[in-house]
Amino acid sequence: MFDRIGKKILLSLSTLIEMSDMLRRAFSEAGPVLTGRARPARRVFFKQIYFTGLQALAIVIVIAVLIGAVIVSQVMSFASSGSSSLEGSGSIAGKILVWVVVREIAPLLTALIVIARSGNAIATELGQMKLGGEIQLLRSMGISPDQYLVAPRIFGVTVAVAILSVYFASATVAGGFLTASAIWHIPFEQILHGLASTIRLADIFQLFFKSSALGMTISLICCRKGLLVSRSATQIPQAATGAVIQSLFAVFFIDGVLTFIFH
Amino acid sequence: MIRFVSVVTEDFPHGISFDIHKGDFSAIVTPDGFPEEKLLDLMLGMEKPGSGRITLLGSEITAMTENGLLEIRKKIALLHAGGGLISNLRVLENAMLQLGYNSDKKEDEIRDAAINALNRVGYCGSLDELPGHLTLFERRLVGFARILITEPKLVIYNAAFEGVQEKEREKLANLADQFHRETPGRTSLAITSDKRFLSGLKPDKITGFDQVPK
Repeated sequence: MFDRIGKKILLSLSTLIEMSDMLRRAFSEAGPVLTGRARPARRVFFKQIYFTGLQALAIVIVIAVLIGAVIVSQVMSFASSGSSSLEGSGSIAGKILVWVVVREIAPLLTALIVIARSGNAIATELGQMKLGGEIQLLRSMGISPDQYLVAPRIFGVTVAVAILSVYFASATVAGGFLTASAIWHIPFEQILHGLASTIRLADIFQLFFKSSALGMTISLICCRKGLLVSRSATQIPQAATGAVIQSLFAVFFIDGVLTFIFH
Repeated sequence: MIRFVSVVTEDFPHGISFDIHKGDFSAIVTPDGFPEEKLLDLMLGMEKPGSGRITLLGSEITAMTENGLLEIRKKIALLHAGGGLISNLRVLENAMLQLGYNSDKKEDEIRDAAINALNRVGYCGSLDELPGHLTLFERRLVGFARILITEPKLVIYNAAFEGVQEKEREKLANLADQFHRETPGRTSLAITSDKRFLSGLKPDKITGFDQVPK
């Protein structure tokens, strides 16, 4: 039994080392990709932002508005359960939107949506390219696969998750505003007061930092899983599933660690 | 230009040696079952030999780092049997890829050069098509267009004249022959499993491997 646990630990450590090395290589290629010295790679970077960010915007906003509505409804139900007046509950709803949404739910749920939409796609696409010999083909043309395939995906997904998280938080707040106003007849100013009195610059920083860290982790895991495909087409769906499961685990773990560090 | 001196690997346990001279149109003819891909990997430094020396474009590549090798490979163009296209790039993007990566030319110039090259090779399909929807011959034409605009010092045709109809093979051979003669000093190498596929190419030198190494 100890033997098996030891092997698992060693395997996890070697995976972590591999991923750190992949991240290091991606950062060493960041200059040419982001400045446009490697034009085709920069195109891949923008395409990744488009696929992961822009194409997911509609679904992210719909989910966020619904979550905002649910949170505010729950707060109002709770506030009205003990008393006949809802005075001050708008302000509490605003505060709770900051505590729950901006600090926690926005980066986490955005990351989950991205895993479901793009994580799978990245692992599958890279797996197919690897199996089709396209990685070797790029190398034979003098093109670094790290620069052309890995770095643009890692930075593209990271940027997309960070921006989507901001949209998510904004749409959740908007959903909360609308629900409070339309159903509970709470004036906007009350919720706005709760929001303004609670939100700090550190919350915005935390939102960006957390979502960037989660985006980078997802893309790193999915790129690695895709590039591990080597022998047969049956490995491609396995890689895609593995990428999703590992990303989910990593996202919850990192989210927990960061929440603990920030508070 | 390319020199193999007693190169020994798992696939070539008895060692291989040959020489491809600068400016020549050379051919390597291999028997059935010969690991051509492994030979190509060694030639481009994508695999390291157990022993022996490999020289590519005047540089000893056996002990070179990946970054150094990438720089050398930028001066080389390959036409693979399957065309060597990237599956998620459209025809025009595939034709532009290598030059877009390895030159400082403006995007518009590269686009125009790629369109001209696609016209020159006789590609008649859509520029927005993905490689999966092209015939084998069309994929090779697009691969050839990519070679034309890259202006390489060395062109390697890996089984690029096989598996297509005779008319199509002749067209590819004519393009390869013309392109070789256009720039003095350009070296071309065709790797094939049958001498018949070299007709129309008039190679200066043919290196033959008589037996499968293992």
